[in-house]
Amino acid sequence: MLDFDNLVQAMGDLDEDTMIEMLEDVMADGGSEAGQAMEACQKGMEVVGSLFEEGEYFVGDLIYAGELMTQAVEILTPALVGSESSGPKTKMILCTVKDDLHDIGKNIVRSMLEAAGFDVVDLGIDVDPEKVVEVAKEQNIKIVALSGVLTLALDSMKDTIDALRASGWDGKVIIGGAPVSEEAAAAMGADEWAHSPQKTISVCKEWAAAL
Amino acid sequence: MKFDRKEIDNATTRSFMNRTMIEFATPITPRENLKRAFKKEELWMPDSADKGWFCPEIIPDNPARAFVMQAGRYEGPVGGNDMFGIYWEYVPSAHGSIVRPGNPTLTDVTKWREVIKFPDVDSWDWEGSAELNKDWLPAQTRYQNVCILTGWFERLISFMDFGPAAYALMNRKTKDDVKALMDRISDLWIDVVDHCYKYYGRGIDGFTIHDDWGAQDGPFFHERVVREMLVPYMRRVTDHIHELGYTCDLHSCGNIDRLVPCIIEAGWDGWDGMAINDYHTLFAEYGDKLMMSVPASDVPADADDETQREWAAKYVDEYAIRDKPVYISHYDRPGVEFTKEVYRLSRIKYCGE
Repeated sequence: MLDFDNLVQAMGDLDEDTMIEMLEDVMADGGSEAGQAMEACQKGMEVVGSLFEEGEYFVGDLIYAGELMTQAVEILTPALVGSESSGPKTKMILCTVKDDLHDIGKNIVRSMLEAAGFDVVDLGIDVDPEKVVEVAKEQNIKIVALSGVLTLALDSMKDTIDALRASGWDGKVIIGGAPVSEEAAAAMGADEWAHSPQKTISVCKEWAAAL
Repeated sequence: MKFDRKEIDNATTRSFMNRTMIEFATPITPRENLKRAFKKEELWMPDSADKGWFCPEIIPDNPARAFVMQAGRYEGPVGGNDMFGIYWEYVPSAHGSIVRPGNPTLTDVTKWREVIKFPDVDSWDWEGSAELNKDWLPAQTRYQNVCILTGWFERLISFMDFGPAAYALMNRKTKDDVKALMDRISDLWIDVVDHCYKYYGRGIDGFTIHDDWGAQDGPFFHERVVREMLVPYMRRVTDHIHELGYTCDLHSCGNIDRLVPCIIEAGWDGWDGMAINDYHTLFAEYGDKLMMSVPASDVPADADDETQREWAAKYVDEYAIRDKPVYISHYDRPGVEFTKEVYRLSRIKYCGE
């Protein structure tokens, strides 16, 4: 039996070779412990997130960890399909708002949300409010995360939130990125705001649990 | 050259980045003063606005990124292909351009030799640009730095998008290919520098190369990564610039305090950084090795004239140190009285009254 603490550590240390070797060991018998391995990788991602918050890790490390997580999912997926671990996930929308082309923060948050078990519908960058409303209503998605870097993104965030509310949608919205603040969130009617991926994940987890 | 009150009394004003800047009746031009500052012989504390960016339109990146600054008013198109043929989309609200992410030119960094087409620098109209700027450049009273707007890591981002570029830079399996690409990019910058030397000569004073290394909450990478993957390639270029008798500044945004030793190791003379860095500590530790743009961030935004003068005295006391020249940053500038008093006090401190 694999020592899953070592797998958590390998992920936390961004030790790609050790992590891949351990995952391949897991899959050697067809993946009977794939679910536990996935949980270990997710815990490893939490370690990475904590080290980022503590200033030990950097944006580059978050991206690297996201790539490792993608590899882990690819390796484990054949064994997870149909298993308990592949049960329904909370779906949420993530995008960079209209007139903002930045995707760095959005992509980091996406990989960490996915690692935390969310089914992220990434609408991309420069996304029209109408598109967010359309997808949220069509797919009955109750959590929306809006990202932006430019100060002008605040206007687009507000437009998106206004459009969601006007459509009768009754979910939760979190805004993230350099220009957001508590005041901005209050002014535009966002339910939460975040500068860090960790806060975004923590808030979305709370909301998902309450759904 | 002792301070004369007329230097302030006869000052004029101009607008720079939506601020009122003062043109003092200086005994030498700000350009000469900045040249002296690099030798630690300045007559007053230089202002970051004393340094002009020379961005000739013949370098394809400059119109692509909407940064053309040369003789005459540029009225050509902005946005478009850079020197590698990468398309930059102009965003009017941001007054700048960006490569729209999601469809990168290079998806596998190990294939850069086949995919990336390096520009033929000779094919740019250097003679025409030299002719256009031959009177304008020497007439400038501000220091003239040729800008290279997309350096090493930023160039990799333009090829690959940010996430894959960061991953390629950190991945043991692709590091050697990235290093070879960085080295080839350094060859290109050396080629550009040589052309500038040949065609603009002493009409220019130095180079500013842009390479952002961080965001508001910290650097993109640990210094170990920067030292291995970027510093040696920058150093080749900065050494070459120095051999030609020019100075070089790095323009690098983000909260990157801990990477300042890497900037010094890479051979830069100056650093245009953001106001969010801890300049008190950085200046104390590295002020004799790197000319930084130091903001007056401690001054209350609503300071009246008297308060501005008091803060100016503190600023000069801390930062007007003969062997540790700084630029007065254009970030967090409190007001006209602060600027006047910093000029007056630093003139007196360096030269007497």
